[in-house]
Amino acid sequence: MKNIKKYMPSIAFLLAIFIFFGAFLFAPKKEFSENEKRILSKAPEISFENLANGKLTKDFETYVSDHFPLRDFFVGVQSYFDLLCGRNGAAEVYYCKDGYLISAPADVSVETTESNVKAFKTFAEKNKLDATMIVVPSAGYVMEKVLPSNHKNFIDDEIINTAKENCGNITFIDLREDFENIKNDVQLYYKTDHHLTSAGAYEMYKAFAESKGFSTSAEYDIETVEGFYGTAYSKGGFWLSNPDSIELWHNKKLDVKVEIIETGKETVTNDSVFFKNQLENADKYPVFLDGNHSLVKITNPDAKGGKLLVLKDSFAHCFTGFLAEQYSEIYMVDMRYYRTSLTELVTENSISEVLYLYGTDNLGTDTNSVWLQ
Amino acid sequence: MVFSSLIFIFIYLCIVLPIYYILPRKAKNLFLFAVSLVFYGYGEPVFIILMIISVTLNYLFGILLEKHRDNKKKAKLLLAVNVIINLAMLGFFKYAVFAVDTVKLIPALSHLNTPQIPLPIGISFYTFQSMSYTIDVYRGQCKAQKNYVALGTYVALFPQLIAGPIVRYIDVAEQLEKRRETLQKFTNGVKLFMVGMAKKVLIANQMGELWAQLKTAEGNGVVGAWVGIIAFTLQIYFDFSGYSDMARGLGNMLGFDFVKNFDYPYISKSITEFWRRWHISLSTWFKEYVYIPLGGNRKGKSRMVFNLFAVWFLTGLWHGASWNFVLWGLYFFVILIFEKSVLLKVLDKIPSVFSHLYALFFIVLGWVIFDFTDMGAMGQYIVSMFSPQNGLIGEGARVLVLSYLPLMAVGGFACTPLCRKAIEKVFSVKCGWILETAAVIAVLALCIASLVSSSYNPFLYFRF
Repeated sequence: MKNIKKYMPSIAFLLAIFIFFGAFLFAPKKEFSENEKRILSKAPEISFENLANGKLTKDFETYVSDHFPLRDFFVGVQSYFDLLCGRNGAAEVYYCKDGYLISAPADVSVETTESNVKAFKTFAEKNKLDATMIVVPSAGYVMEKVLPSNHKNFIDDEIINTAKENCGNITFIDLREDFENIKNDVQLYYKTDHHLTSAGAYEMYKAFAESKGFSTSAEYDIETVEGFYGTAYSKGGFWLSNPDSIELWHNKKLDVKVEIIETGKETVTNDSVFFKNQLENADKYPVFLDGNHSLVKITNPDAKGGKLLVLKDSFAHCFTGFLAEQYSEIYMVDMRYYRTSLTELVTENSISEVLYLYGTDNLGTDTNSVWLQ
Repeated sequence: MVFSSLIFIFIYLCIVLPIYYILPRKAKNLFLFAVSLVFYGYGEPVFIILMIISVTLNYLFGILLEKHRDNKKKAKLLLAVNVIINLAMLGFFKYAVFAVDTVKLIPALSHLNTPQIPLPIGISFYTFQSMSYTIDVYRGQCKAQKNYVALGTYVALFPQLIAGPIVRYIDVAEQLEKRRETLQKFTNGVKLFMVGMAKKVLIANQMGELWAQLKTAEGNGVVGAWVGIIAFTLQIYFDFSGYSDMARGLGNMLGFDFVKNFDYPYISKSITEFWRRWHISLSTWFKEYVYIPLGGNRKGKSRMVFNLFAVWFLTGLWHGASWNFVLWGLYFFVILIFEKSVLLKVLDKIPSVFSHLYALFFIVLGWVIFDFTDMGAMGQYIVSMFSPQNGLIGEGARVLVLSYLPLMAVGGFACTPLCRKAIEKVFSVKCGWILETAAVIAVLALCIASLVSSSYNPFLYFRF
C-alpha cells in the first residue's frame, strides 16, 4: 500500500494521458464551435504528398487542438489562471467589477480615423447629402470605473476629437457628455458584449432626434430575453460569468418591412426589425436586424421623413430599429462587406440623407472606406 | 515534434510507452530508434534520410577507427576525415547561408545568391553527440558499437534529440545494452517531466510574450528596457532548462539516466561559475573535445588565451549562424580572461551580494547580445537600458510590466535552490504524495489549457 502511494504521481499521469487519448479517439467530434462562431477543422487528408511537404502534420496539429476533449473547459481554465497570475486582460478581455467583461482597447489609430472621416466627408459632398456622424465610445472608455486598475489606455477621446475636427460640414453628434451624465442611472453597455444595450441605443436615438428636430414620443412594450452571452464572453473565456438579458423595445405602431439583400443570395424579408430566430443562439445580438449584412433595407410607409443611408458597423443594429419610426426608407450599408457603387445606390433611390455611425474601435481600425465610391 | 504539444503528450507518448514496455528487451532499442525517427521526421520527413546517413557514416567510422587504432597515422587520418564529414554536414545545413551572406559583404562578391537551405532541427546536438562517439573510440576510451541499432538509438533517441542535453556516448554506452526500467525510475521521470513542463508552459512562454512585446515597442524607458531583457533572461533559462528536464524525465521513463544540464546558473557569483552551471553538457563537450586537445592551459599563458579564444568563438557560433552569437561568445571570452587574471580574487573577498550582482549584470547584458541578430537594434536596445531619454517607464510598458510582475517574481524565486527546497518541504509532509499527485495533474491541466487556448480563435465578425 505504501508503495502505491509513492508511485501515485506516475499512475495519475498515465491515467490522465490515456483517458484523454481515448476520449480524443472515440468521442464524437463537433463540427462547429458556438463560442468561436467558426467551423472547426476537418480530419486531415492523408496522402504521400501532404506528408512529404509537412501539410499533413500541420493539419493534424490543428485538428487535435480543435477537437481536444473538454476544449472549452480548458480555455476557461487558462482564462481564470491568467487572472490568478495577475494577467487580467491576457485574452484581450478585462474581468471587471459588477460582472462586466470589457474588451481591451483595439489597436486604433488617429491616422486611420482621419482618412475614414475624410472619405465620409468627400462622399457626402460629392452626392450632396445631408450628413450626420455619430461615433460611439467604447465600453471600456465609458465604464472606466469598473475596469481593473492596471489596464491599457482607452484613447477614445483622441479618436472622437479627430473625427470631430475632420468632419467639415457633417453634423457631428458627440455622445460623450450625455453618456457621462446618465451612465450611473441607465445600463448603457451589456456586461458580456461590447455593444450598446437597447436603453443605450435609445439614448443615442434621442440625441440624434434632437439634432434632427424629430419628436420621440413613441411608447414601447419592452420584452426581456434572458441568457445572452456576447462577444466579450466568447473571447475572454470567463465561463462562470452571468449572462446578460437583452431587451426588445417594441413600438406597436411601427409597421415595417425589412429586406436583407446580399449579392448572389435570395433576399430575406421580415416584418419586424427583430429577427427572433436569432434568440436561440447564445449570442443573441443578431436579433437586431439579423446581424452583419452588406445591405439591409427598411421600409416604413407611414413615416414622415425621407430616405436615409446609414453607413455603419454593428453598433447601428439595435439603433436603426428606432430610426425606422422617422424614415420611409433606410438603406443600412456595411462597408466591410459592401462592394458595389454606393453613389449608384444613392442616385437610383434618390437618397437625400446619410448617417455615419461607427464605434471608435472600427472607426480607428477599419480601412474599408477606400471602397467608398 | 516538441514535448510541449498535445500530439506529443496525448498521442505519441500514449502509443510509444505501452509498446516499449511490452516489447522484449532485444526489440526495445529497435523500437526506440524507429519511433525516434518518426519523432524527428514529424515536421520534415526528408531529414530522416540525413539522420540515417549520419548514423551510418559514424557507425562505419567507429568500426574502422577501432580496427586501425594501433596504427596511429591511419587512425588520425580516419578521425580527421570523420570530423570533417560531420562538420561539413553541420556547416552545410547550418552555416552555408550565413557564410554566403558574410562573403557578400565584400563588394566584389555582392552579386552572389544566398542559397535556400532549411535547417534540420537538432543537427547541432546530434552532430556533437556523434562526434563524441567517434573521438572517444579513437582515443580508446570506449569500444566501437557493433550493433547498428544501438548506435542509431543513441544518436536519434527522441528525448534529447532536438535540444540536448548533449549526451556523451561513454556516459550511456552501458545503458544502451543493459538498462533497467523500474517503477521508481519511471515515477522520477514523470516528476522531472512535469517540472520541465511547468517551467516551459507556466513561466518561459509567458516571459516570452512579455519580451516579444517589449523588444519591439518604443519608448519603454530605462526600467521597461531592463524588465524586458530580464524577462528574456527568465524565458531562456526556463525554456532551455525546462526542455532539458523534460528530456531527462523522458529518459528516466525509458530507463535511461542522462546528465544534468543546468545547475541554478543564475545564483553564480562569477561568469566562470555561470559557465559551470549553464548548459553543462555543451561546456563539457567543448572542454573535452576542443580546449584540452588544443593543449588547454598546459602550453603556456599565451597559448591558453588562444585556446580559450577558440573555444568561445566556437561556443558562440554553435548557438546560431549569425555574428551576434560570435560576439556573444567573445564577450564571455573577454570577461573570463579578466576574471582568471584578476577579478576572481577580488570577487572572493567582497560581500557575496556584490559578486551576485556583478555576475547577473553581465549575464543579463549578454542576453541582449544573444537575442538581437541585428547589430543596430542591439545597440539601440543597450542605449535604451542606460539612457534616460524615455524616462523611467513608458505608459504601455508600465501596464504590461505590472501585469507580468507576479509571474516574474515567481520565476525569479524558481531560479534559486530555495524554491526547490520549499517544494520538497511541502511534499515531505505526511500526505505529501497526495499533493505531489495533485501537482502533476494541475501542471498537466494548465499545460493543456495553455496549448488549447492558443488555438482558440473567436471569429467575431461571423456573418452567415
